[in-house]
Amino acid sequence: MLSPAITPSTDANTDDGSILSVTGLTKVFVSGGKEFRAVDDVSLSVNAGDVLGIVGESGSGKSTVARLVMRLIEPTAGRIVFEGGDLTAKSGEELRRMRRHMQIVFQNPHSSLDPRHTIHSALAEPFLIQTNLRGIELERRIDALLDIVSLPKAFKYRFPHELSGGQKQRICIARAVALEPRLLVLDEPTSALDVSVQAQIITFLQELRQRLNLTYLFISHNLAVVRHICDHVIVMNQGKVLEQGTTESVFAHPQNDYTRQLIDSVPRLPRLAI
Amino acid sequence: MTSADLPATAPEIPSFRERHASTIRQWRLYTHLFAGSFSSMLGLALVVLFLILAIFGPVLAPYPEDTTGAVNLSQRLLSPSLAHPFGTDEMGADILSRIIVGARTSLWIGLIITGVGAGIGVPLGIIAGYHGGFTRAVIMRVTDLFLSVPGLALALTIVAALGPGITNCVIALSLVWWPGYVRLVESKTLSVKEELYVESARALGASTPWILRRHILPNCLTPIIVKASMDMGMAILSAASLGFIGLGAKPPLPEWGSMISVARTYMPDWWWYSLFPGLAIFLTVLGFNLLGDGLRDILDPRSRSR
Repeated sequence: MLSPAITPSTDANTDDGSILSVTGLTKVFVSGGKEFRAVDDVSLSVNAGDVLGIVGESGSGKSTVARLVMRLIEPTAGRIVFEGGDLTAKSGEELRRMRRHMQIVFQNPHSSLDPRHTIHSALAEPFLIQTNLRGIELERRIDALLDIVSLPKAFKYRFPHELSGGQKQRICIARAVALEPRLLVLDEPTSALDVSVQAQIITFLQELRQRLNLTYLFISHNLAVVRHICDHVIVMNQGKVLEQGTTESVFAHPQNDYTRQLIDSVPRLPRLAI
Repeated sequence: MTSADLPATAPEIPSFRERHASTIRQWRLYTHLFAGSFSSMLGLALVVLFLILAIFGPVLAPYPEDTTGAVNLSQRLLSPSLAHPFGTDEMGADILSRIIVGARTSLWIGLIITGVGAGIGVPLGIIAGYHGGFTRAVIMRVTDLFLSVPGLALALTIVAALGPGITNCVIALSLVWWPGYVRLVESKTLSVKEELYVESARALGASTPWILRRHILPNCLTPIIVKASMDMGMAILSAASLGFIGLGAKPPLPEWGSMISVARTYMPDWWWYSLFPGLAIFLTVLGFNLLGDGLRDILDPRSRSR
């Protein structure tokens, strides 16, 4: 390792504005008798309305953090506190009901939509699972969602394979914000898309955040995007947090050798690189 | 999104054709692909012919009374002629009539065996594949146990224990038919449950039954339909085999396997007696197999090159 993991400042976790705080999160995968620490003692905290970026190279454990925070996989150790409630202590029905307040958008829109369901059915699913909305009211909600992501109503009756990557990702975002969550985890939402579409989606996500008053946990290996939209940044490598702070300070004065390497490795085309 | 954001007017629902344009296009493509393959169409034609015979059999049969055990000794073992295109048997019954009416028996046998087999096997396979761990280990070991014994031999033992007869024959074959479905569905479930859309549904808070019903089962359906179609033929053949060795349907009930069983003692001089029921079994099994192959080709294009 280049330097020991930096422990988060304790006052960040007790801050009243914090919507999500994670302490000592660890995930160990066991395969073939060998242990692999995908996430090692990660602590972070996101203030309501902020965008926290997690950057790192492939395999640094950033996506595993996203899945752990969403409780899609069980942490080996650690505590996840969401809006004052301990998420790690919840299970079953209680956890199921909690899920409407935090949603995730995955990296690959091509496989995040069930190929056998129409867009209508994909957009109806959150309401069918979490609410009692049915019939005409449900139709109106679905139309409103399509409005939010600026897609024509006629898309309702199409199947995912008839949409482009960017359109599919918009549908995924619409699904994620359908239940008006307070936290949206974005797990490399643009890395499977064309460069031109990436910029569209990023701009759209920024507008959406202001409109719906969302908090983002933005995971990416694209430093230019992170610098553009995040308020705070966490740098991860090999499952550990190397550095964290405001985007300004991390990018302007990186304290860690690895962070410096990462920033230096960005091609010098800042205006085009989004 | 507050209620103020919602459109004030009620959403208009377009016509059926507009709403299902994608599905209609998909089915047109399927039909086109299917119709382009000679073997698939032959299979479909054989299966449709078989279904017509099964549904309208007693109306179509030229001598319906011969199928219920009428004895006409003056006409025994007549060779094929205009009056009796497939000849007559040792009781003087018209073989064509008995074959036509026998189709219904075979259809029921095939449907029940395949239906019960899939009905037991598919849920077990989905549960084993989705849950993993101890549940999976138990289900799969029992399945392996059943698969390691030849199905027909096991069915034979069960029929022998229950006593011969068509009902017991169907029960026995149903009991040995499900393991194939468990295997198929379990492996398919294992791959489907890793898909992001399943994880996305979990993130929305979907319950396990919801995920199994809405996402896993529909995405496992293709191989199940293909296997069920092919199994119809195999089940009919197995039931005929049990009929042949005297454990299935009993005369005078017209069943193809038991007809051949009686007819083999009249070989080779009275060849038509066993040839035509044999041909009926052959064409039915061939029809279902070709149909299954054709369905696999259109529903699962990746397997087409094999």
